[in-house]
Amino acid sequence: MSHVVASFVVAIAASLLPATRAFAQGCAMCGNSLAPNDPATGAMNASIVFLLLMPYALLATVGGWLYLRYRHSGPRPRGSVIALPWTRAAARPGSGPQED
Amino acid sequence: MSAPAAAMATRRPEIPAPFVSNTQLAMAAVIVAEVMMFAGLVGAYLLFRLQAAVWPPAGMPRLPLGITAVNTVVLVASVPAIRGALHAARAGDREGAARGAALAAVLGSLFVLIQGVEWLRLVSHGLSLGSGVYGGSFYVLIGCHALHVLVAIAFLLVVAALVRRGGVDSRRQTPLEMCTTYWYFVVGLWLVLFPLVYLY
Repeated sequence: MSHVVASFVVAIAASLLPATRAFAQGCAMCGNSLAPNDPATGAMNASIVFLLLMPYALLATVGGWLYLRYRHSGPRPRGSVIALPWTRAAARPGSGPQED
Repeated sequence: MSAPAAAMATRRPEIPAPFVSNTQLAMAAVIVAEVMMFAGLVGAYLLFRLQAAVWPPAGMPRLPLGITAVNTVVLVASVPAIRGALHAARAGDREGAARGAALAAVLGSLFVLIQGVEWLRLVSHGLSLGSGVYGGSFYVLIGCHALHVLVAIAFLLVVAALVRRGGVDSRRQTPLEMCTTYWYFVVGLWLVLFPLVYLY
């Protein structure tokens, strides 16, 4: 499991390193067509921020709803653990169906 | 059924009911998609509204605030009706459930009717779909909501008929629950759109 976590961290770090020079860039059409003091610039920014936040708000809402439903569903019986080839040695007798 | 199959069927462990049913997940997916569609329309409306120095533009009529506020009360009044229908269905009162769903449908129809009359008045005052971004954004945004109210009314009427036929009882209320969820969405969406379009 620690290998999986380490690989994940390295992959995230490797993907972030080349992205540092791209932070200041934007949409070519929006960036060139709007002047700094144009009221349309603020309107465009507000609209973009609104549309940017909506998926996250929805994700949080649906995730919170699922979490609360799960918490209020009461104790649930856990499924039996299937012994895989690399966990078979550690599997206790009677903890799940055996392959052989 | 053959003997081995019957033996397997008897040995199958009892699967507990999921904490969220497939129907609820499907309705959540529909509502999420609808919210994102309206988010796009609201984003476009915000873009037009925030960059305008004068709103409504010169020569365009103001939106009718008073009658729309009353109309909002009519739509919100349908929420206790549909809640009552769901509670009645859970208590096994089929007649009460059908009556509550029908009352919510009537209030929703009244909302659409009043809005249609107001639209006719606005058109007669020169505000049409082709009246620039003001008319276009107003009719598209509010029209999309009215379309959703009409779909919800049809849903309510189907569910009310289903309740009368005995398809919904104290043990099985999934159609009424889903209809209630969708109606909440439609009413909640209006509570966002009304201040945004009429008050802001």
